[in-house]
Order: sequence, then structure tokens, then C-alpha cells
Amino acid sequence: MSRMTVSQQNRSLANLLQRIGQQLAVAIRQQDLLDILDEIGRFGRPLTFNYSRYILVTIISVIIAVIGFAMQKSGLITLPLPPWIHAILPLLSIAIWLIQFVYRRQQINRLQDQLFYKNVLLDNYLQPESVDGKQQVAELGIRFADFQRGNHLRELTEWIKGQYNGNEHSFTYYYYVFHYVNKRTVTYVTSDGKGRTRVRTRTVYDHFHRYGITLPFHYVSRLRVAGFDLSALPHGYRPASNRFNDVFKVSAHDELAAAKFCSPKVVESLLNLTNRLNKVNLEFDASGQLCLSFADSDLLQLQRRYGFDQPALFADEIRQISKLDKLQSTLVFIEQLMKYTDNNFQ
Amino acid sequence: MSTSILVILAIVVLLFVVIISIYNGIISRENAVKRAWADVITQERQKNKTLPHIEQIASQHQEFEQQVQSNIAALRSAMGKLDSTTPDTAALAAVEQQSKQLIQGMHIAVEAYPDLKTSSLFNNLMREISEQQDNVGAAIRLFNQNVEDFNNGISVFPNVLVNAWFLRKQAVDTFRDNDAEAGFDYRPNI
Repeated sequence: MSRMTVSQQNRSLANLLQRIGQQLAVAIRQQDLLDILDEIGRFGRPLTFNYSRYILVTIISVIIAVIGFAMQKSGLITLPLPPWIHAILPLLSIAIWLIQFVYRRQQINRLQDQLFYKNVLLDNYLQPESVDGKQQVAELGIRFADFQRGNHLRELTEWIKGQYNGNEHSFTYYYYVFHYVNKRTVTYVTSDGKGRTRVRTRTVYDHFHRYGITLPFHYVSRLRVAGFDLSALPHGYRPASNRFNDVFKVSAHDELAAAKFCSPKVVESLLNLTNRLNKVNLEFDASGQLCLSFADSDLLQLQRRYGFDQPALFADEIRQISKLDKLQSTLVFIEQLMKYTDNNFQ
Repeated sequence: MSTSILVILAIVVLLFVVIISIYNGIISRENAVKRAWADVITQERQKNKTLPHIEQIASQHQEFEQQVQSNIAALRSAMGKLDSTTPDTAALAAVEQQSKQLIQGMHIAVEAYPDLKTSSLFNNLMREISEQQDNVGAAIRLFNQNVEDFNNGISVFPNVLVNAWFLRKQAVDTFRDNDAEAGFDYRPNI
């Protein structure tokens, strides 16, 4: 294969990947995703770059290095440099080759993941919305204490609108990913090896994520159920269940409202929820909004079985409905909360 | 004071602290059982809220009325025997039995009086009754969990010694649904 052909081959693949990226960004239907896979199928060859040029350059640089090293060692040439200097050229060409290889591989993996994720969102009626993440957190932080974390940075990295249609209650909700950063100063001691020590400080940034669902909830207000590091409201309430009290702390502005909320079925549902979600908090604000937050990052995650290397099978996988069971069970829990806190005669 | 006396004193103090902690733990768990039981009774008595609505509907359908009124009377009588201070799982079972009969009667009534299906009051009532039953079921399960915690608290070592020496508390019976059990041939050998 001529050098020109290899170059064309790589350029056409790079163009294809660029086009896929652009099409993915604007895809709004499953058919758009299938069209992309169709285009990959028509591309006619595997989506792998040809690295023969890099291999050739590496081989030549190794040969040059070996010859140079041998000549210097035998005294044929005299260089004012140490012998290991000959290794620089081959190492450099291997490094460039590896960087290219990893970068392009990651690019393809990222596109496959994006396409699959977009399909999962479409299958579950989820629609990402573009918001100012920092502004949105500032607004949510006024209403919900769970967003008052992080002394350096607070931002939403995902804000996705969804619709749940249950047997007794239907609602629109937003799924979010909250990223916050704590900044702290660490003091440490260094030694110069001669017995002298010096106290130094450095700044450390700790990154954390919380995940959650927020939605209108008209049956309860000004109440918190804290399972993970959440400030309490003025009146605490302990339901009769030992196990519930080991996990959660309920507080409200009105003790009677807290007692009314903690019906046995609600207490049992919350206990069951802890089998599926970790570090759960529930906050009902004054205006009738619920924020259910937790530490689980996998509500919108599914494992894909195929990729661009098998476009036909990948397309079949896309055509099937990808159900997000963990998200669904969390939404069913919210519907149950509504069912057991609403008034059947109003 | 010699070291050995100090060590003996420390062991005695430690033993004392452990005994107090176990003692308080048993009392707390017993109180949690009582509270959970009171919750079960509270949930059962919530049914009183819906009974006047059922009577109202029953009065509009004569044949339905006769059967439902007798079911309501039996349920009220069973609920009257419930004591919120002392766990009595037999009395609770009787209330649950009467509740089931009332609900069954109402389901039969729906078949006999199709216009009931369109009555919003009846539908809301059925939803309320169903949720009340769910709450009673959940309250019983939470009660049984607390009973398990309490029974474990007086049975495991060294709690069993503290209980035998200072408290002499008896294990509490968990609530068992005899009707449901009758449907199984299997009985655990415990």
C-alpha cells in the first residue's frame, strides 16, 4: 500500500469520525442514531487507523540509533554526548505513535458510548437540557440544603428532563448530577537530608458528586429525611421502626406534619429504598418541591454489548428498548410516596 | 494503691458500664416494641375514619347495606378489643379477619351494583381502604422487626445473663397471619 493511500485512508476515517460527532450532537430521534450506524456500515472497512507510517519511522529511528550507538562505541565517531542519547529518537517516535493510538482509540470509544447513551435517554423519554450549571445550583441551594456542599465549586454537570406515567400519579422530573469541590490546605514537613526540616503547605482540591431527582410534590412541605450529612429542621421526629431510626433522621417545621408523613408504609418504602440507593436524602421545600438525592451514579448507566466494529449488531441493540431499571424503581418509589401522602378525598 | 487493685477496680467499672449499657438496650428495645404495637393499633383504628363513608354508600343500596352493616359491626366490635398498651396479636388477627371480610363484601357489591364503579366517593373509599390495609401491613412488618430486635436483645450472650439477673423479660410473639399460613404445607421447625 502506497504512502498516499495510507494517508487518504486515515483522513477519510478521521472525516467520518468528525461527521459522526456532528450528527450525534444534533440527533434527536432513534432513526438519527441508526442512520449513523448505517453510514459506518457503508464505510466498508473497520474503523481502525493505519499506523504503518509510525511503525516505519520507529523502525528507521531504531536502526539509526543502533548504528549510531555502535559507531560511537567502536570509536568510528566521536561525540561529546553520552551513548544513551541515541535512544531519544526511537523513544520519541514510539511515544508519538502511542499517543496517536490511545487518542484515536478513545475518540472512537467516546463516540460509541455517546451514541449508546443518547439511545438510552431516548428510550426512557429523557431529554438533556442546557443550563448554566453554577447558576442552577445557586438557585437550588436556596431551596435544598443538599446543594450547600463544597467550599470552592458547586455546579450541575447534567440536568435532564424526564416524564413518569404511573398508575395513580404522573409527573415531570429533572435528574441531575451535582459536582462540588472542597478546597483545603495541607501542611507537611520536608527534609533536605542534612537534618534540616521545613514546614510547607499545599492546596488540595477534593472532588465529589451527588446525584438526584427533583420534582413538584404537593402533599408534603418543609420536611427533611436525612440519611447522609444534612442539617435538620427545628422539630425532629422518630418513627416506631428501630431500623429506620438507625438510617434516617426526620425533621420538619411542624412535628405533626412529620408524624403524619411517617406512616408505616412510607417508613417501610424508605427502608426498602436504602437497599437500592446509598446515602439517601429527601427534602421537601416550602413551595412543594421534592429533592431526592443519593450517591449512586448508575441510574442512567447501561452496559452496551456492541460497538462500531459490529455496526449491524449495534443497530439491533439500539432498536431494542433499553430500560433503566434502577431509575424506574426510584420513580416508582416516588409515586408510592405520593400515593401514601396524598388525600384520597380531595 | 497497688496496680493489681487498680486493675480489678477498672475491670469492675468496665463490667458495670457494660451491664448498664445492655440493661438500657433491652429497655429501649422493649419500648420500641410497645411503640410499634401502638402504631399498629393506630393504623387499625384509622379504619374508623372510613366506616361512616361505607355506611353512607351502603344506605343507598339496600341489599348491600344488610351485609355490609353486619361486617362493619363485627369490625367495630373487634377493634374495640384492641389494647394499644399490650401487644395482643390474637386480637389483631381478629380485626384483620373482619377487615378482609368487609373488603371482600365491598368487592362483591361492586359486581352486584355496577353503578358503584362510577361513584367517585366509592372509588376514593376503596383507594383509602386499600392504602389503610397497606399501612396496617407495613405497621405489622415494622412491629415484627422491632420484636425480632427485642427478642435478639434478650437472647444473645451476654444479654441473656443481664436479662436473667435483672429484668426477666419474656420473648414477644411476632404477628402471624394464620389464614395465610393455612395455605402452606410447610412449617419451619422452630
